[in-house]
Amino acid sequence: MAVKIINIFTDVLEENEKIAASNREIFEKNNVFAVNLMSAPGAGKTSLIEKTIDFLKNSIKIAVLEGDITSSIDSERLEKYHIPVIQINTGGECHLNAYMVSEALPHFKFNDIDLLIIENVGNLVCPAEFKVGEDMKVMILSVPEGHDKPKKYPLMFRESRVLIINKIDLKDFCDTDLEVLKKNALEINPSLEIFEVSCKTGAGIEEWSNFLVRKIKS
Amino acid sequence: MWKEKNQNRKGKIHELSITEEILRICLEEANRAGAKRIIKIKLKIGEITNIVPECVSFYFNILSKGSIAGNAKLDIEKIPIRGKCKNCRREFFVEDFAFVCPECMSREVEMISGRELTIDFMEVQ
Repeated sequence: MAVKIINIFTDVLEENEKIAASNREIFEKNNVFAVNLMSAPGAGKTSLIEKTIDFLKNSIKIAVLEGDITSSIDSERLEKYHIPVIQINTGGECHLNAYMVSEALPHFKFNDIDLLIIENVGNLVCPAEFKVGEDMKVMILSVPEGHDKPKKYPLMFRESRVLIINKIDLKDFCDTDLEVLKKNALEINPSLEIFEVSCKTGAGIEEWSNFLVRKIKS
Repeated sequence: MWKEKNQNRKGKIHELSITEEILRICLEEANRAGAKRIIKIKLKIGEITNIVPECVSFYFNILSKGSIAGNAKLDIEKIPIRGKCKNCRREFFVEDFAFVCPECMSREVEMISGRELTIDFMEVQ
């Protein structure tokens, strides 16, 4: 039997991107600004969400989509804010994809939401690969993780619009060189907006929150 | 508080979801073309993606068993990162993930390759 060549030229993630685009349409139609928040486990995603809610609760309406492999520890942490929170458990998968997000969206009442924060699974690798329909990818790197991470996880830094350097209250106790960290990150992505914050002391939260409000309103 | 639990999802690392998608697309295309057997699949994977080719091959061998893609050869080409300077238009290989033009040192660099994750073509019978 003759061998035949079939040209395909298809992006493997095309299906995911289609669903991401339809999620995006839902956000746009409802005037919701969606942030895909990514970091390694323990860098401070939930803490940043808490601090951001504290700072912005009187000016904008926030909802959260929590992505975790298992457990609802993070969404329980947010219960005290009385905002809409939906927990997605991926059951093992190391990232959120557009389909998982699309399944959760019908549970939100969007006419009451200005900002949806999608907290991705803690991981510096896979979440960078999958769009979920967000307006902006934001990543957190905490000071104890070290200044070499941009070179080790370049895609995450390339894809993000914002880098939040968290736990700056620990900088005197770590060998991390913040200037080297910023230089490494900006080499990969010169348009990165960088904020130094401490979710412990509250430093930098105002600057980050104000930036976020400007993005939502623009 | 709403909770959406999806406990039935199998635990996967991302190469597994990606390999399932590769196999799905290939079987669909082969079916459409009336092919009886897939001999070879050519993939292009950019260097900045987080995809490990060996991992994709490993999963592919398991997932394709019993299908017309069983025994198909995966030919994976790693595509290096190339940038194009928006200032002086020079094209160059991006080394060590530094998106800086070697000619004029501008940081306004567009990535023109390196982000690929594409199925290029298949050889079928």
